[in-house]
Amino acid sequence: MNLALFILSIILMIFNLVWIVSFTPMVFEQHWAQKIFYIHVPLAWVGFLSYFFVMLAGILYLVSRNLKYDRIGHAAAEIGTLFTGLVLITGPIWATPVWGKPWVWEPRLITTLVLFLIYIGYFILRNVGLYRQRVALICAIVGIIAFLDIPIIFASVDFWAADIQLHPQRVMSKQPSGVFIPFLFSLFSFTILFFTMLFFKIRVLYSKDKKDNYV
Amino acid sequence: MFNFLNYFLAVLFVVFFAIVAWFILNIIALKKTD
Repeated sequence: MNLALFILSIILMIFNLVWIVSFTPMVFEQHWAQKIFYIHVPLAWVGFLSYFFVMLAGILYLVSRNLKYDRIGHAAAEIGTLFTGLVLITGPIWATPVWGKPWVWEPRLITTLVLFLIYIGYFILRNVGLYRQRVALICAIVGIIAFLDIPIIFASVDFWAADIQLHPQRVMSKQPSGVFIPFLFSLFSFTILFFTMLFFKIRVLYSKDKKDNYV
Repeated sequence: MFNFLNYFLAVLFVVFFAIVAWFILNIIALKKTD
């Protein structure tokens, strides 16, 4: 593990937490529940960033057939699935007090759930017992195709009229600076955490491949 | 006054333990391959 990066991400996360808890404004109607925003949205951002790396690694694997890119894709997919799973848990926790119900079948929630399920399928594929290069090839293709869901998630709030949707629209630029700056810092902290986890997971997968004589 | 603090703490709890569990599982996986 890259120890310096690990320590940096711990420090950033502690600082981030203190900022969120103590120095961000209380929004009148939601009170503490609004602060979930500083965690829920960066989790979603890291999930999407991970899947972008999966797509990129998939393309590089198809071009080079080097297992190094498969390991990068595998590592990013695992982190992406963890974070997307956390988005799907933290979202309903936030929605329960604010919307009055944990889950509503509307475009953004459904497309995010579909993305999560696609990657569950991706990991099932990884474990069906095909030989190493075959798994890498199939997962590279699935990773590229699965990424197509990300622009759909981004655009999903435009599918239906805004007034019949509960999930917020893309309104970050309208947030007051008291909310926006800690939000950016939280995004940054989670991004550093993502890279820490990515490098660590690549190292784990490299050791495993080395043990199995693929390196 | 009901101020939704428990929902915020629930989110912190879930995220913290999920990430810590991920690190522990991967450290164990790394130890097995070394």
